[in-house]
Amino acid sequence: MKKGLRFNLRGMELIAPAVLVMLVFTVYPIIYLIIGSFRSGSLIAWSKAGGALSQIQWADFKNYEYLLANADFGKIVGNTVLYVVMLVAGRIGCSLLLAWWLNSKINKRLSKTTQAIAFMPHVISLVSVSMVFMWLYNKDTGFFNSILTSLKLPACEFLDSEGTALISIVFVMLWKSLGYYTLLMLAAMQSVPKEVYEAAELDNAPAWRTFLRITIPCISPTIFFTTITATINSFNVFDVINLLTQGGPINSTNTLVYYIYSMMFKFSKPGVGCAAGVILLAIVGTLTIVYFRVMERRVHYQ
Amino acid sequence: MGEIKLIGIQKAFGKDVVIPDLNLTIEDGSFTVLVGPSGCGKSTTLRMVAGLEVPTAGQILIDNEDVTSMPSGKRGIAMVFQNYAIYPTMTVSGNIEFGLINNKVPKAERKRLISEIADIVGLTPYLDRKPSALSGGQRQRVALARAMVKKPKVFLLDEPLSNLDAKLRAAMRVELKQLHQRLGTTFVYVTHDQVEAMSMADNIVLMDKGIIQQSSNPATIYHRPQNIFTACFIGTPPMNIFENGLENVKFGARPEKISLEPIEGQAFRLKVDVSTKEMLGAECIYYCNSKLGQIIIKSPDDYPQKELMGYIAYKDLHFFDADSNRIDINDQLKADLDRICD
Repeated sequence: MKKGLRFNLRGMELIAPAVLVMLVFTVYPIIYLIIGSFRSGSLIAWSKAGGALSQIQWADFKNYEYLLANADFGKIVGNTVLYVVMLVAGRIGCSLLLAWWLNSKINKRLSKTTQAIAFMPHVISLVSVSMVFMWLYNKDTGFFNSILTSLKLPACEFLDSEGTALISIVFVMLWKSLGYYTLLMLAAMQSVPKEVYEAAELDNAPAWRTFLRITIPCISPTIFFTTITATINSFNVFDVINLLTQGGPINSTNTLVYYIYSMMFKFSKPGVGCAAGVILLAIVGTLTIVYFRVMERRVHYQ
Repeated sequence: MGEIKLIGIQKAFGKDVVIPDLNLTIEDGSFTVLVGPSGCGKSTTLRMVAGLEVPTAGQILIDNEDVTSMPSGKRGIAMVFQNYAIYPTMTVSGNIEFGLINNKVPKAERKRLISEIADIVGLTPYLDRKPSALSGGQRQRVALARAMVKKPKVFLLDEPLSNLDAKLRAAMRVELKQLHQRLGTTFVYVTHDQVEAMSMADNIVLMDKGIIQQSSNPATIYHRPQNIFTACFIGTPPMNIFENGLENVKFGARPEKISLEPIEGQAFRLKVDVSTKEMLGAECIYYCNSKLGQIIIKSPDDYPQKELMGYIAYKDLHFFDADSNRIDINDQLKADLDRICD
């Protein structure tokens, strides 16, 4: 204990580069964000003030009050949570099922080809993906609607309707990232010894019970890890919304990060943007802590 | 009941034929050991009986019922794997219970069976532990308990002792043998270790390159090996085989059957020069040269001399024809032996 507390110069020297990088790129922005959330004024006023404390106009808690009083902000938080829940559930659920199928006794070549096809969207630029989906989703000339109409089914408005826009965006991101998550799950499943599955076969276990009682518990560390990263990653959604809907129609796809961006650069209210940023930071931070606390107990580490 | 019949079994992995044509009957209630060098097809044979591999051709019958295309879980068998393959996330009792749940055994009955089995294999204090908190020997017992609790017609054991240390392995050998006597069920045991085979088996099936070289009880396989492969596989050090000396006939003698003192009755004599000697306490192993080639002799006595005379009783000599198959001694061979005798 004594030794642990002693100031160790050599140790400090060794971690200094890493600490410096963290200070500049993580700690400083967080402090700046928190301070910013208590400031008023436009972007221009902010850049004029620079670092001079005397010129800063303080807003006290007005930025937070503005957010809380604003009905749109509540909807935006709701949208974000809905988006995260749908996307994370979709990613984990679909990737588990796909990986399970790929890991079963199917043809090797079929498995490899499917993996390659599923992974491909992950390496394609999101801009290209968005362009393609804009056409696929187009309500008059799009691919999906031409199929629907040829089947004599009513056309769907996809991105142009309040009711379907958010789920359409979830689908794009699910399609794009499914291969990546499947690969993670598949790698975890393949690390389970094959004899364990054979023992289950000899124990007359139906496939679904093998999946629930053996596969899932054995790969729970991977499921745990991917759930956390997928959640944080989904909370930070911005580019696909900026490309496809700009938050519309009627704020139905407006999410926290896109709202922060709009406040900063569209409406020139950087203080409000910072306040929303602090709220996002609080949500993601709390979730991470909760995840680690709650799931650690249920996760099996070998 | 638990009689296994393999009829005309062929197994190929792609173009690689592992087992060309295998016919074997494993008697009900027997302790049968499949033994052979690695790659001889013994594990593949076991896995086909288990239903984990599908034969390319042929039939597998258990109690005269064709199970060739029956799923593993329905065959009434249980298997113990080399690495135990216990379910890592379940407790000991969870591991034992899993097969019972699948077979829809009612809960009260499951509880009774688990405590009964745990008592037999000595796992009662560990029922709530996870496998990661158990020693190698305890994991082995979990694997055994999981197999036993299903009351199978046939036990399949795939090198179950090879992950244990030497001391524990010897103890488990005896325990398994006792378990077999107690249950009276058919045991099919795969190993590459001839000591395990000799010490446990009622019947040894010795395989090489997917072909059964000999199938008989341990005493017969030791005293009357059917061919040179069998003769050399069983016994440490392996049997001495003299390739030259007799025309078109090879003959051999086990190192422990060569005496360094004159013996009564008809004996074959051979002068040997000792090149290396290993003193093992209870016995000495002599590595020697002779006019018939290199020869290994195992003797309880320690001789300091470099030049010795070996005596082999005619009944301890084994003769093999040009195709390496066993032949019996006859007057012609005796006359030939007298000619080359020292």
